[in-house]
Amino acid sequence: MGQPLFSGARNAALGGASAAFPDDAAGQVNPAAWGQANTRILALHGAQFYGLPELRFAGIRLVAPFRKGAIAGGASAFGFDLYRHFVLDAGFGRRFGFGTHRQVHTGVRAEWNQVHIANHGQAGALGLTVGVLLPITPFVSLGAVAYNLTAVAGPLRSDLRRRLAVGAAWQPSETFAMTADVAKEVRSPLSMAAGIEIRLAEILALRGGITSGPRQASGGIGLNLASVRADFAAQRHEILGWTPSLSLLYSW
Amino acid sequence: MKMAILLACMMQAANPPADTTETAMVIETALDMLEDGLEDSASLNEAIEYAAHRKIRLETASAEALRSIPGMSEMNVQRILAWRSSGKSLEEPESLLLAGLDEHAVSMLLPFVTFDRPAPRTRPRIRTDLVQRWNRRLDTGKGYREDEPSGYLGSPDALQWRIGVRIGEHFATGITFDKDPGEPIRWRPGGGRFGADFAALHLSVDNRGPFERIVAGSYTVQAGEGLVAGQGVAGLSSLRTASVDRILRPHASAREHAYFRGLAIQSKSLYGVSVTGFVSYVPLDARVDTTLGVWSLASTGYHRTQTEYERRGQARERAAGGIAVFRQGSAYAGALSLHTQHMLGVSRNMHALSVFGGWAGPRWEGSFEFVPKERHQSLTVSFAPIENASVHVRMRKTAANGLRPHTRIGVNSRGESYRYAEWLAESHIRPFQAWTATVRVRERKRPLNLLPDARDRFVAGIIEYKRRNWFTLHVRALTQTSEAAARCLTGRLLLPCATRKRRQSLRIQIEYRHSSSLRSRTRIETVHAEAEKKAAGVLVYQDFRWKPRPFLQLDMRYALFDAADASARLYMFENDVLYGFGAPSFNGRGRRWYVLARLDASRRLMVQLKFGATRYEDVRSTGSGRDETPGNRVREMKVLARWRFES
Repeated sequence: MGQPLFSGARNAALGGASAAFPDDAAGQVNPAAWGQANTRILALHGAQFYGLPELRFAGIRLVAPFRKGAIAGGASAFGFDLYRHFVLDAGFGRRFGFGTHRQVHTGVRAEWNQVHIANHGQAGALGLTVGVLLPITPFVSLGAVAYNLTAVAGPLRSDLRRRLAVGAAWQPSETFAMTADVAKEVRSPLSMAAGIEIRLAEILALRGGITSGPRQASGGIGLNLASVRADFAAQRHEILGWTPSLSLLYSW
Repeated sequence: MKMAILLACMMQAANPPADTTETAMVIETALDMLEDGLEDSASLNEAIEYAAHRKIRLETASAEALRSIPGMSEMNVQRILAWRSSGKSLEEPESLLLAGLDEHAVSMLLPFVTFDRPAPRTRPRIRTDLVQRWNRRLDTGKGYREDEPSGYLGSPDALQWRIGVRIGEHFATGITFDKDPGEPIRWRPGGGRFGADFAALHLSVDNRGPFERIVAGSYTVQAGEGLVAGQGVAGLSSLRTASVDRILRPHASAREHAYFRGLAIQSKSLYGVSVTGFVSYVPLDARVDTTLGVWSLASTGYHRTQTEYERRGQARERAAGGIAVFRQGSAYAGALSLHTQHMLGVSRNMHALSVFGGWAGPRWEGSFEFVPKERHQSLTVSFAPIENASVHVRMRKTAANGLRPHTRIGVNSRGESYRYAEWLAESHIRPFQAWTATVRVRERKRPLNLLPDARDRFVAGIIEYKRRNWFTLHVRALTQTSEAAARCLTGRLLLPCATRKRRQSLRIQIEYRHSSSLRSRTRIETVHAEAEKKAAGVLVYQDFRWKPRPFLQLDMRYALFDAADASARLYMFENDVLYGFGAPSFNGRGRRWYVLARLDASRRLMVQLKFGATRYEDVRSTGSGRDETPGNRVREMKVLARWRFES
């Protein structure tokens, strides 16, 4: 299926290396991120891949926390009149102690993919994605996420993108973070990604990242204004060009 | 009072049941250095499971018992003996570190030892284990179709029953029945068929009167360096399972081609001399071509088709041998004589005489075996120059499968097997407390018909960073090159030439123990192979082991693999049910997952359940021949139940 795995401008700016450093509002990188949400979050995402209006992406997501986790739901659309890919998802993330004071975050997301192709009709498939986030020290985290671990139903089951991403993140302070991922998609070669985030001030963060397979460089900024956060990212593919993306988050 | 004694007997620190996950760690660690020798690992698995079920109490164990622990070096035996003789106790694993063993050696030792103190006992303890295992591929090949004229005779179920009874420390008996997938269950007492395809029965008496061990029934023999009698794990210098003090081992395994059947007796040491004698009579499978008068032994143990069934028991093997070992402290010398006769129409006799010996000091140990008539030699030297470094070197010149009568693979119709000469060096260095580096180099000269100087080379390096017991980073790089004979077009002539195959792999693995109930492991591995063409492969997997309750443990894995062809295949050791072993290789593109659950339902009952599935992309069928399965997925299920009764 054609919709790229887009999970917010912050993750895009980090080269997509966010299995162990997920954005708590996105959850598309790793649904375990919802397990660390403390406030309700409404997120709007938009991107135009390689500058082409036919490859526009728009998404909305709502995260609602409860005592030890959060439930979340979202919807997104990708494509244009002749090819349109809708995704409707819902899931939850939860924190577990496992006998220590350090908590493990886990998450699961059910995702209905619906593809509509002009003059050919439409079909869909339901996949299940699971993720885990292991903070091993206050500064280092490991993360893993299996996208479409299993296809539950739908005629397009065999076309779901199966992907396993594992990563590590190092965040020695509030102002600095480095993250790296290795991901394998069944039908694509191994890809690696790495990103860095530097928080220059409380309201401003700079981000950069690189990705292999496809080879891309990315950068972006984040503005944090009280309960509103705005992230902007730009990714450059060496052949296809630039992909700008924007995310707006409101938490309350 | 009676109640108190009974309670004491019940609560005594009986050896806990072998934890398959502990033994799996030992096997996997050994396999890390052995990618080219996975074919030996099933017997390694059996040897380790056997040892893990008979844990040795370090506080009181004899030197002979210590030497029988898999992977135990003579240097470490001497360290433990010296520690005990100085009046210090061995009540916990940390004591072994203080005694001078390194952390790696201790972790490899733990599945086979116990630190519990024995409770006073008034009568022999009887322990009975009943193990039943069933496994089946849920997607079966076309060999199981009813309309297939040359299909398998039996069902796709694999069944195994094991009964083991141990009375006190001296008596043990066991029987194993096994049916492989595709084999029929037939009851023909007149024809020697009693349901299952294979049965192994043994009765052993340990440490009674003048005898160290007496085994009647199925058994294996291990002596010297394994040139003449061994257990098939000779490729592993780092995990040797043979011991010159415990030569006999009852055979309770379902391996159908690597054992003796008859009577074997090992005497206790008298003035340092121990004598072993054995006789054996085993039916063998054989292929026969009566028109050419050629026959050869078959060693798969499968009797699934009519053709395989007709090979069953076509030949007989008679064997008789004697071993004498003289031991003085840490030095020993011995001789082995083995006569084997294979009978099928014409008889074929093999006789082998070998001498072996060894000696160990505080910093080094060495052993050798020499077969004068065949001019086969093996020499092993281990050296620990400083506290945190050791070097093992082995030089060997022998037949590909030794002269052991039951390693028939590769033996041609004249009973010959090709020879090879090899040297192997392995070194462990621990420069800092948390870091370990291991290097293993092996070169084997393997003369082929058209290529008298063909060589195989294997170089592996492992660097491990272990932060106490909760975090491990493991990096392994491996290169294998092998030469094969070919014919190359030179001018207008096809002349003999050599082709070279190369295989390189890099593995990065992170293990993290979050708590006593949760562990994770992430592995990324790439392979590059060069043969007739270049190929690459990659594997990524994520493991979790979760023990939510003391009686329940779950092992889970999700893996994606992508290998261009078989030359770039990737191996993945899997946790399995008890007595099960799995290190499958994957090529093509797809994904694999499994869940293994272990439930200790009660003090008596343990149940294991494994479900796994592999799904390939872009293929219409998997397997080949009778095992060709339509579709792109292969699912299998295993169930094992063990009842343990103790009184």
